[in-house]
Amino acid sequence: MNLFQKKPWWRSVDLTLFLSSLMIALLGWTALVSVTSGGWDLSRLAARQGVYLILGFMLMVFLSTLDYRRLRFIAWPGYILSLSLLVAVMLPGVGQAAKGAQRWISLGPLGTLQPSEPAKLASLFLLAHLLDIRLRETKKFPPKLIFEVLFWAGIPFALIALQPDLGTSLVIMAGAFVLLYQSGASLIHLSGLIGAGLGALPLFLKEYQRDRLMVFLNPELDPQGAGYNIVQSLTAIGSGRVTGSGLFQGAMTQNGFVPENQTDFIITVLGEELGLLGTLGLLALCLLLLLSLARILVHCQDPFGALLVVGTITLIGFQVIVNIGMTVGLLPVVGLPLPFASYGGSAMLTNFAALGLAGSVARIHRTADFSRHILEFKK
Amino acid sequence: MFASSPHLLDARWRRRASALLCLLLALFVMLAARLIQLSVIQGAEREKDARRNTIIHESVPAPRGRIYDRKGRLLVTNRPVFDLYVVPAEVIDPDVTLRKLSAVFHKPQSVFNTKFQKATKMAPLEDLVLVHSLDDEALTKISPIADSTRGVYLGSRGERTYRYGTVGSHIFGYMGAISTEALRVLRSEGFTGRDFVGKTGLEDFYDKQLRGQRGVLDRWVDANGRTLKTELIRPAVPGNDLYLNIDMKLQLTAEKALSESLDALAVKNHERSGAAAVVFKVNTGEILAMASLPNFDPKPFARGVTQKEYSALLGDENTPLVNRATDAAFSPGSTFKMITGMAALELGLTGPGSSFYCGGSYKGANCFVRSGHGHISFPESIAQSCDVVFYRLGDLMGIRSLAKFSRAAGLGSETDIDLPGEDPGLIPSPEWKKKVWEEPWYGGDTINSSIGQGFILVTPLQMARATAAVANGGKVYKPRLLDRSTTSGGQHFDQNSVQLDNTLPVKAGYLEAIKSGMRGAVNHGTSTVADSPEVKVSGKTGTVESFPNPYNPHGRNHTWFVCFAPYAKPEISIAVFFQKSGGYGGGVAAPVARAIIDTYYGDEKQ
Repeated sequence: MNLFQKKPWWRSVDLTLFLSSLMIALLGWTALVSVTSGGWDLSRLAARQGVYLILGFMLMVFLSTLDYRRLRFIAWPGYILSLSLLVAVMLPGVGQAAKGAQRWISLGPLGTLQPSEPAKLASLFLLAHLLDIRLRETKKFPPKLIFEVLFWAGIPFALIALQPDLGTSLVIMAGAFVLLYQSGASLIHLSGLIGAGLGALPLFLKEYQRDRLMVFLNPELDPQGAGYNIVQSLTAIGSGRVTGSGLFQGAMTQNGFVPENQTDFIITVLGEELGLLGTLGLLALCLLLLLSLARILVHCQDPFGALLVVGTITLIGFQVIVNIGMTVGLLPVVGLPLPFASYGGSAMLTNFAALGLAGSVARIHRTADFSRHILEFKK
Repeated sequence: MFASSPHLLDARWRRRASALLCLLLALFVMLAARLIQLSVIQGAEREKDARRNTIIHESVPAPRGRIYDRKGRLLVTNRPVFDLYVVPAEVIDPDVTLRKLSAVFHKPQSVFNTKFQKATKMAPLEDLVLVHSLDDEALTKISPIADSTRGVYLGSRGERTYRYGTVGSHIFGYMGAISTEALRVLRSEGFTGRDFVGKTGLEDFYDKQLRGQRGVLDRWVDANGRTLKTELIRPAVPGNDLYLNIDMKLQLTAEKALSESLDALAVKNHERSGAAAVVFKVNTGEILAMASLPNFDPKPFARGVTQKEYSALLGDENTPLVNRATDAAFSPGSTFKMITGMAALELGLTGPGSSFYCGGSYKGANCFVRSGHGHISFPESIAQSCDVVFYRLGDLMGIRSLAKFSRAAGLGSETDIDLPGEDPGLIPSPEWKKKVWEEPWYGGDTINSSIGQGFILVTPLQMARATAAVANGGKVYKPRLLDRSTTSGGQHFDQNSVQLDNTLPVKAGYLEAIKSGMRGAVNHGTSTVADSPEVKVSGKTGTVESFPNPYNPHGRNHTWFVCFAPYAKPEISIAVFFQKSGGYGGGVAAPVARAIIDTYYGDEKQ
């Protein structure tokens, strides 16, 4: 088992992983084209997103050809770099604000960078690296390790929450807790901490975030104001019924009745124009992607690689569930994009990069006997 | 190589991974169930909601009412203009869009960015006007952009146009972008952030009549934004037209005469000042002309005044936005002797034929003719404006009687003219002085007041009305700019009818004595300039001595002239006022009244 194995790299790639993520991205991009262009005549936004899609896919393939273990040396530098970008975005003159939050750094002609996106991946990569090292010599999980992990996760969490971007910051926390849980931390400790965190949350919420929470609890509170997004979202999704009104034919989508439907609410476009087939199709593709990641996990015999894949599953899974959950009114609107589908270049590259790492794990552990691991898992 | 942490991938790891996977699956099942619920179970209902959602309720603007003068001359009307506006929430790529737009106007993009970002936070779904009243060139360039860019629109609007430029600007007032507070109220009537409402003058006072009622149009749109069908739910009702009592020819005469005098004074005094004139129909209260200088150009306001333009107007020390005929009050000076005189006659302190001796001063207060007028009759004391006679009469009756007759003549309170922002002026009382100045009322205060100096403050409009009341035998009429308002087609109209506010508690014969004194002033007294060949004029001059103060650094006199004509059967009264003009009422203010009378009666003869 080394990089100079007999088989060429393309013989051992995880095709399900590549194809399911590509399908999600293409489906999301089609919806974006519909929102911004209303036809196949591409808008600037759709064209730019198409470029990011291709770049992202290439990045994933490239990363999967590497040996993820040899990338461990960038755990700390990557983490520090992403933290410095998060600090830079808060500096006046460097960071750019929109919709009341300071989230972007201008890269001139290259567009803008949203540092919270790479920060998610860098943080989870570091946590996987850290947990693996700390648990090498010990059989029992040391409770102190919880605090160390939460400390390193807490810094990017706080920086992102301050922007404010609650949704993205929660991804990092969710990742930290899942990694701790997988590594064997006491369930009692973890649930105690989660309970305390949720209890303290209202103290830190901004007014608009509190409004959204109130509106989630009672959407009719303010149907023209804070509840508008969610009411419009539900109407658009439901109005497509089973087969949808046809691509580019959604009256609500095409006339701008659903706010933010190129970003967080992209699924409303699928709902209205492609109907239940579109939304369930998307959901199925997401599940396929997550299951292909889970399959990699089953094969994996390396704790660091396994933790990395767990982090990736959480990163993608949490975002899918929270994003769709909020657009269908099951969760409060926290502002989280749908991975691979929502408009945004930084997110696209980050998510594909995470899959690339998982792809590397998959490729390196592929030669192991498949059936043996399935049996082991069942035991 | 793999054995870095051998205990991690144990049975517990697999147990926990399975648990997480189960949780994931459960959540996906919930999401799928919810999607099915939305699209299948609630699908029909939601589709109906969506269809209702794609009906756009549009508000159809109502043309604003026009304004005419008493002879049917069109004064204020509308012309269609286009505004460029955006709906921030609909703009997909603000940076690109704003860059494109700012390029057309050769403006820095930051100007639009600032507005846009503020609106994005405050009211992202409201219309945000970026540029008012586009010129033809901009319109040609913007049209294709507006057609192809989501969230960018051209909106048409009737812009107010003023046929006579700056003339009468204080009467009409101006319109301005609707305030957030006003929008809160008017939103239910279909108003948007792009709309203008009256802010001052008649545009404000009669705003409700002028603006009419907006219509409602329902527009069904399909996925391409194409209109499938429109239905006029309620047609727009145009605003009412206003027919004023103003005679624009007289208004022009008044403003021209005032303006020429002000120009001459500016050369003489090396400072500019202001002036006002009011022409009043003595038997009805109709306002034939109401001029206030300096005036302002209403055009920028109609277009949408910029902060810079507005600040310049507010900062002008000659206050061009203030209507000096109604919104500012000044000491009346000797024109007030009409009031002191009628009160003295009614109270029996003197008779129409009584005679006095003026030695040049009374209780330390000087007559303006320092050598004194010698023996002088009561009517002649008005004609020559002898201060000593009125010092004496005022002193005899006391401030309370003086105040009572002043108030009866409509001084010291709003006239309730159909304009906003009127200054009530001031008729003092001992209680007032105690409260404001924390001093007792002195005998000298009464003596000062009896010749219209000191605390008394009146507006030119109040003086024109009081003069009319003297002329018409004691009737104090409510001043009216509006004669009638008519519906746009002219079928129905509302008459703004004559309203008698008060009657002077003075016998007609006594008023005749005042009038004859005023006739003397024009015939051979202080204001012979006003002796028109067209008609017999009666008048009274006023010269207000001022002390130097920040607004009047040289302490120049304010000057007044009030008059009515014809002497025998009065029809019109006029009040003319010059602020810090220096000189005397007879020399500065009376010529303006003469010009107005010559025009009015010169025309009648033709």
